[in-house]
Amino acid sequence: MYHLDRNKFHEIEHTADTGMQVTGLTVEELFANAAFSMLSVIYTRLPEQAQMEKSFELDDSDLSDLLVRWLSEINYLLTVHHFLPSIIPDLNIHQGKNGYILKATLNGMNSKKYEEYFRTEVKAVTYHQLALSQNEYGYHCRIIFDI
Amino acid sequence: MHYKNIPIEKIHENLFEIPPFGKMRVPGRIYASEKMMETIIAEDESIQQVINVAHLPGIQKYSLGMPDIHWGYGFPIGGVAATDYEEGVISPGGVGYDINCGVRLARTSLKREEVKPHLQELITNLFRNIPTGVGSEGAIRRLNQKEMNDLLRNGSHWAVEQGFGEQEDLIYTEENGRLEGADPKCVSSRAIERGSTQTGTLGSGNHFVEVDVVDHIYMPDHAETLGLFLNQIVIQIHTGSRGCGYQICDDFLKILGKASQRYGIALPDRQLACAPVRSQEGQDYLSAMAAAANFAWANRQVIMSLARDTFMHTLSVSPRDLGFKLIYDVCHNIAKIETHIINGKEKKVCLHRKGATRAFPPGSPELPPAYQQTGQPVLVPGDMGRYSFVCLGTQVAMEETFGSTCHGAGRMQSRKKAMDTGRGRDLFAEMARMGVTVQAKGRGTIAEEMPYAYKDVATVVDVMEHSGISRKVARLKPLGVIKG
Repeated sequence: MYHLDRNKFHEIEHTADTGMQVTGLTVEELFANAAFSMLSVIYTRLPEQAQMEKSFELDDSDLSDLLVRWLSEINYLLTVHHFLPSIIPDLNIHQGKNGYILKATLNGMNSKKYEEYFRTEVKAVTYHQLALSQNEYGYHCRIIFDI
Repeated sequence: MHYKNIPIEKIHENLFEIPPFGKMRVPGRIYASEKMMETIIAEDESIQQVINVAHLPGIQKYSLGMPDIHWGYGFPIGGVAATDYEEGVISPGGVGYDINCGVRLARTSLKREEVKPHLQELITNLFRNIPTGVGSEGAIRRLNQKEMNDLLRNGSHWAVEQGFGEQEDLIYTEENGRLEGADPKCVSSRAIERGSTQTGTLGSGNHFVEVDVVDHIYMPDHAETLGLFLNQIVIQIHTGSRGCGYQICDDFLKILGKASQRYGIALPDRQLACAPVRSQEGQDYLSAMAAAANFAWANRQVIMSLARDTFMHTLSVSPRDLGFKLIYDVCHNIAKIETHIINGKEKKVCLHRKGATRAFPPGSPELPPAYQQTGQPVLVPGDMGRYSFVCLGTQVAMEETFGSTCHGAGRMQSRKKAMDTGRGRDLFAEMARMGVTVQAKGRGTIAEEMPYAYKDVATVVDVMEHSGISRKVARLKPLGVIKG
């Protein structure tokens, strides 16, 4: 299970938009922390309830492209379905024959007052300066959001 | 002057050139003052992006940067590039995520003193009547697939048919508010879904509706042709294609990224993902991009209609007394098939303008009859505290920049830095002291959009004026603004 941990990401300077540097001990933790970094840009506050559940599966041949797709999927659930995630109880990424497969469950809420939770719209998760790497301390990524 | 040991040549006071080196196919050219160039070199990688764009197959003459240039995705914002239609490529990075983000300017017959007593109420009502902010849904109920298809094909025309605005508005919109060739079949179901509830929404970030007063006239005769006079109340609307356009760009970056590899196109930056214009992928992107562009025009048309109604009801004026008329609507992010003179011959090109505005000269057939003598109006919004400008296109623009000019102020501070600068300050009160009434969804938006976060747009338009690319007609001072 993954929760928001503000020690695992920090904002980086970008003239027009917002960038995040994110870490994680495992690739799943990295992806979860990247999601929370994006939510920290979007939300005014973390939703209080988490009684709804959304599950989905994604795949991609490239891990950093999978990261973009993961974040884009969450952004889509937020902006179109007004599903406001706050906890990631389940996230698994494994490498298959043709690339990477991600399976995730998010807990959150739907609210008619969803606009209260939104501070900024992320237009898109971009490939600009996208970087994902691993060293002896874990996984790291840099991602820029078009605001 | 150098950029990373690369020499930069000064062509004139406001034009600098990067001679081709390595795999650059053409020179890079940036319109800027010397002081601006020093800042551009020091602060971000936009010059590198001008250099990268010069690698695109089929690029003609120059990879261009306007004086409001700053870091973008693939192309810099403020980037212009024309590629050979037959043998060159098209790149979504040369348009941007917010396809047909643009601005329109409408005039009224009202003067400042008539509106000032009601300004707070007017801004409050605009904020209430025009859906703003993240997740906001439109003045129009969710559209079904058929309705969306209609809208994507017909743009502003669709909006007028639904009762938003007048037939005359279409003449005063770039491309008459409808880019031909839009094909909803090239638009993903997710893009349709994202757009279906967002028609008539402003969005957030740097999108706005602004009530301005004309506070300076530079060319009285041309101002009169545009219907502008001193002390006049006018309205600017700045927004784009919303989630529909963002999704289309995202979809096609993936498609064209793979296509780039398939066609053996080596790219210095993956966000320059591209395909030959005449390939299936290139044509599909053009069709989907046109659909998004049409969405944006429909969006601005609806919002303008809501703004007009708000003026009438708040000020209790008749349509005739209000005299609400569209002056012009321009795109800032678009790729269009145009014909330009290159090496003395007419050539069909795919013209990418990303954070740049078309600036066609007098006599252009694309312009409405009323503007044949003046040239195309160019709308250059500044920050919400200082001023914006109305300019006109020129023949020099056609000769030097494929009929293109700047689009706005350009950010000076990152959003993070702007938020930090604004911490502990009463920003709404600061704006009030500048004489501007602001309504926004959140303090965060205001902090990010404060005047100190932007370059002075006057310096930007002056570079283009001194270069002969576009000419100032009028200056607009903000009185009130709504933001998401």
